[in-house]
Amino acid sequence: MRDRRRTLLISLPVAILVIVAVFPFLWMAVSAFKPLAQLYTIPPQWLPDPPTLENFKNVVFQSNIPRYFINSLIISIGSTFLALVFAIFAAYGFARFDFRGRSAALAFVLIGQLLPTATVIVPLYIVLNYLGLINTYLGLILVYLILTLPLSVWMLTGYFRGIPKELEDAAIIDGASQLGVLFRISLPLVTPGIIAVTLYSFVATWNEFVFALSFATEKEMKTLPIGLAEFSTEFDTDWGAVMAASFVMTLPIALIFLVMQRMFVGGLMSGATKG
Amino acid sequence: MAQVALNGLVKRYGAYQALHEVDMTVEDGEFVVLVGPSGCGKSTLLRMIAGLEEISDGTISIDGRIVNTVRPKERDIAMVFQSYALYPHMTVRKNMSFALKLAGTAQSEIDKAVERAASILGLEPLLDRKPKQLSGGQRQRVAMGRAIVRNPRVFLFDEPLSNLDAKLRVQMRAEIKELHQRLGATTVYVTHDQIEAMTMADKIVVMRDGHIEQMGHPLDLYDRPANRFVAGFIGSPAMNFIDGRIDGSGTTCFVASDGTTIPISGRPGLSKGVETVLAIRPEDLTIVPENHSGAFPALVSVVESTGPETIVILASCGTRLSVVVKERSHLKIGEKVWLHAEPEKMHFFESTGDGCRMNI
Repeated sequence: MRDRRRTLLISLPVAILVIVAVFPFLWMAVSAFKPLAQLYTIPPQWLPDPPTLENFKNVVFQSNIPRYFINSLIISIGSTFLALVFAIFAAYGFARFDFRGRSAALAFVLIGQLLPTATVIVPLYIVLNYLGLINTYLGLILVYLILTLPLSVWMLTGYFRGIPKELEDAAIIDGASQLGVLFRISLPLVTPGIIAVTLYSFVATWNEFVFALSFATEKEMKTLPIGLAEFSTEFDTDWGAVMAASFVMTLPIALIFLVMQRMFVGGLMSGATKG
Repeated sequence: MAQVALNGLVKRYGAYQALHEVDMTVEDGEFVVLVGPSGCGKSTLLRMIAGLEEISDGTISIDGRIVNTVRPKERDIAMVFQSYALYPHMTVRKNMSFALKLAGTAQSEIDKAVERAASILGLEPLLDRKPKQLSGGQRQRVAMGRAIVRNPRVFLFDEPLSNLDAKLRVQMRAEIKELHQRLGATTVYVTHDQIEAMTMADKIVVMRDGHIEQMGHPLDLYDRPANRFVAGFIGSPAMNFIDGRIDGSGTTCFVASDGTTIPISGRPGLSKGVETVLAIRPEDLTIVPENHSGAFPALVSVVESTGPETIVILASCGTRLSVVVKERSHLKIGEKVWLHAEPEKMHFFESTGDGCRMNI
C-alpha cells in the first residue's frame, strides 16, 4: 500500500511534467499534417482527418525555408566547431595550469553569459558593421560564439578536471608533449563532455532568434527561427505552414538527441560529479 | 643502468619547504625504498627525480649528468603510479607500446618489446583488453609492463601496491623483487608500508617532514635505529618506549617513570641520573616466571592471536607494552605476569629533542 502510494507520489508529478513538456511538440507535429480548416475548429480536432502533406509542400517548394535551413546549418555547425576548438584549449588551460588570476578569469568568462542579450545587440551591431560582417556567415558565427563559448568552457573545465593528473604525468614520462597529452590522452577521455558541449552549442545556435533578427537582415542570410516568423504577415498567419516549418526545424535536433541521448545524459552527469 | 645522485635537493611551495637539502645516492642496480608517513616528502622526491616537479635548489644527476632542466622523456626513466595510471581508452598492448611509439620506434621492434615484457609478466592473454576489463593485480602488472617495455635506466615506483588487497600485495611484492633481480635495474620505490620497505629494499631511506632520518641496509635500521622516530617506524608491532632514568645504586638499572626497576647490567656507559628512553622490540620481551632474575611486573590488557604468534598488550612501567609470543598463549585479561629483556637487546634514546640514539 505504502509502496503504491509512493509510486503514485513520484509518477504523478513526472507525468504532469512530461505532458507539459511534450504537448506543444505533439500538437505541432499533429497540426503540421492538418488541412487549414481543421486548425481552427472548436472544440479542437486532435487528429488530422485526412492527414495532408499540403503544408510541407508549401514550406519546401513555395517558401524560403530550404534556404534558411541551409543557412542555419552552416552557421550552427560553424559556430559549434569554433566554440569547441576554443573551449577545448581554454578549458584545458583552466583545468590543468596554475596561473595568476585563474579563478577570477574563470568567473569572468561567465559574466558575458549573465548580461541580457538586449544590452549587447547595439555594441555588437556597431562592431560587426565596422568590420563589414553584417549579413555574413562569419559575422553570425562569431556572434554565436559569444553566446555559447562561456558555458562550453565551464562544462569542459569540469570534465578535464575529472581526469586524474597521474594519467597525464604518465603520458609525459612516456614522452608526450603537453599538446600530445591533450590530444592523445585527455581529449579522448572527455568524449562525453565534447558531445555535451557540441549538442548544447548546436542547439543554442540553431534556436537563437534575437541575434539572427538583428544581424541577418537580408533574405539570403536569414535563419530558420526568423523564417518561421515570415509566415506571419500583417493580415494573416499561415499556421499550417508554421507548424510544418517548425516540424522541419525540430527534426535535426530531435534526431541528434535520439542518437546521442545516452551519451548526453551520461556526459552531463559525470561532468557534474567529477567537476 | 644508472646511478642516481641527489645533492642538497630542496623543494619549496611558496613559503612552505617540502624537502630540506636531501643528499642521497642510488647506486647502479640498487633497489632503494623511500619510506615515511604521509606528507614526509617521499613522493615529492620521487616526482622530482622523474622530472614532474621543478627543483627549487640542489641537483639531481643520473650517471653523473645533472638533469635538473632535462625533460622527463629525456631522463630515460619509467614510473609506476599508485593508481596505475593506465590509459583507459587504449588496450593493454597500446598502453605498453605508447612510449615506444612516441619515440618513433619501428613497429616490428615495438611488437617484439611488448611481447617480451608481456611474457615476463604473464600478460600475453590480456594484450587486447582494455584496463577496465582487468583486475587490480592485472592492472598493476600492466603498469609494470609499460615501464619494462621502455628498458629505462631507472625505475620509479610510487606506492604501487597500496591499492591492492593484502594477499595480492604480498604476491606482487615478491614479483617486483623478482623482476628487479632479473632486470638488475636501478630502482627507487616509495611506500609508507615499512614491511614493504624491509622486505624489498637493498637500502631503506626513512624520511620525515622533508628530512632524511636514516639511510641504510634494512637490518641495520632494524638493529640500530638512529633515533626514536626510526625505531618506532621500522618494525611491526612497533617498538616499546619507556620513559625513565638511569639509577646506579648497586647494579646499574633503569627506573621507569612509575618506579618500576629494570636491571640493565652489561650496558656500561650510561651515567647515573640521566633521563632516557628505554626501547625494546616486542619480540625481545619475554614472559617469564616471577622468580626470574631481572623480571618486572605487567598486567595483561589485550591478547591478539594471529595464528603463528600472539601479540600481548600489557600495562607496565606507566605505559603500554606489546610482546610477541611465539607459542599459543592462555593469558587472561587482567592477569599479572612478569617480563624480561636481555640488556644487549635494549636501545636507549635521548628523552629530549629528536630522541637520538645514545651510543652505548
